[in-house]
Amino acid sequence: MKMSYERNTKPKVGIFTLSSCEGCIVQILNLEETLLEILEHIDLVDCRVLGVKHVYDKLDIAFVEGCVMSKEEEEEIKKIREKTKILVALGDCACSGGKFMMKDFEISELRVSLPGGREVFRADPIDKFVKVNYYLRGCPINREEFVELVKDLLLLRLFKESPLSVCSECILREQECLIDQGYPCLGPITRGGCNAVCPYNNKICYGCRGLSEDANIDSLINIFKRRGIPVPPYLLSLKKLVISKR
Amino acid sequence: MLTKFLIISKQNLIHLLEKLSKKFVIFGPKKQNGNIIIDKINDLSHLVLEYEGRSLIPPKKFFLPPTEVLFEYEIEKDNIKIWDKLVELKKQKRILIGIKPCDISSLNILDKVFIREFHDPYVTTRRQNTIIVGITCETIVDTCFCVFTDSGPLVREGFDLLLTRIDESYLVEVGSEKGGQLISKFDELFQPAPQEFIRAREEKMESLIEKISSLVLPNFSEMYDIMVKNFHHEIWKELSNQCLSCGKCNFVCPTCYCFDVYDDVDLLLKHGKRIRRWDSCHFLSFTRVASGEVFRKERETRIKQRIYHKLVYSVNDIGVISCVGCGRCINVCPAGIDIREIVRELWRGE
Repeated sequence: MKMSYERNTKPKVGIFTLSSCEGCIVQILNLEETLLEILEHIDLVDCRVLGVKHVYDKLDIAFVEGCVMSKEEEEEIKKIREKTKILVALGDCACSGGKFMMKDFEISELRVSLPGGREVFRADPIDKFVKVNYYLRGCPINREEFVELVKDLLLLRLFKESPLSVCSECILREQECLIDQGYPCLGPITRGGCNAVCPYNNKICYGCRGLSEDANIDSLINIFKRRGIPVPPYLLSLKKLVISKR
Repeated sequence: MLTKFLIISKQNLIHLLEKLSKKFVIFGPKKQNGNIIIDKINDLSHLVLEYEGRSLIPPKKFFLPPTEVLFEYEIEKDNIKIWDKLVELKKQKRILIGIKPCDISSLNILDKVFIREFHDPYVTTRRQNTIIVGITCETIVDTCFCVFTDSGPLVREGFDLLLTRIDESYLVEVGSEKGGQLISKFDELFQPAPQEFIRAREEKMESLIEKISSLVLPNFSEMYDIMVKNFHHEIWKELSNQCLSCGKCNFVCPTCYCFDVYDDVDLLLKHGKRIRRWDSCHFLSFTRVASGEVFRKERETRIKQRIYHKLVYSVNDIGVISCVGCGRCINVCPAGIDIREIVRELWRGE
């Protein structure tokens, strides 16, 4: 991937929202003073939440939160991609479909109906329609990680996602294992970088950062079964989804 | 010549630590959420010297921390200023008390890597500034197998002092000059050890050896040829179906030392930190190079890497196996992968 900005100018940046709770952009706003520092290094030209809408042809960086749930959004993400050098998927919705994707899991309790009789075809991650250069995972995103990504983009450096699994981050915090206590925690197959915030606070990992590379879903299902832990229905659906994507 | 064996009452040991805590920072075992962890001891009443098994995370974290800033730098035009963290490390004085013989053995192995094979100033400095006071086990847990890795229940070197509880006292073995000097100023707290105390320790060790020896296992040092021969054994395929690649086994292993190094630069792009962080050979990213190529794509090759490093590559590099039989990886593996079963199956196949 070729990455360079116009010499001596700040990179033009847009922040866009598709179907989501806008929780990821709230994380960015929560950066407060750090956000002001970031704004000194970039030229923010498009951000609905901050009321910014300048005239521009091309973007250096586009941050997109939310998943694609309608034809209109599919068109929108394609348009953003056309005018952008570096496209970043922000948060679980943009990266993997997020919570909205659960409606495709055929779990009756999770059926979603949208207001206004809007036509919905499904909830898709944005990389189903366009090429994504970087993924910033989590629900919501981790704001420190967002700053790391911005720094790497400014330095024209490759952003590396955390290599750790949630499970390995959890043990570094010297926590008692939730699976050992009989809970269906997805820590072993989930990408880390969150510092195991949920298991550390005695909540199971729901996998909001998406599957780790080479995640062994089958083995985790067997482990749960062997230990008499009820297999969460979303884990089975996740497996179906992974197979259908291959 | 210093006396090799002494005794100290439990009470006097606490007195001793109180006095030493004025000069040293004390680290030792304490309870946290049902686990034994080794941490800074601010209040000596929190110190738990007699505990079953071993701590969740091994003492390597005190010498090679999970995340460590090596140095900071500032770039001002053509001038680069560097603040090396080694300067602060050199001022540290620490006592690490209450670690088990398997963990002492693991530090001896890490020394071969970080001091002899390479000279890592950060690890070396921490080792030099830390006094090791070990303690022998009272009982074993079901994942212990130190007898088969020649790393317990007693160690011969790598400690400054080694405690063994005998009734309400501790038998103290002085393992180094540093250890002897440390206690020489506190003569009044110690007594010479009577012969029956030394015999009592021997009996304790014999009973531990007997318990662990009930496992049917070969000595792990003798597995080299068998391992080499079985590189394409079907067991590796089976294990790859079970392994979750979560990397927990690496992080709890007292001899796994792989790390990654990266820079954390501030937003003004002038000031930065060079950071070292533990890495795991179970992660795909471990062998990913700049072009994006991954050398160990298949899970099978990553599982093999860890086991073969312990029993084969380590022998090639530093002359000894690097498994100390602590059994931590067996305890934490969600999939229940057990290095003893792997070794047993390959050994029995011979």
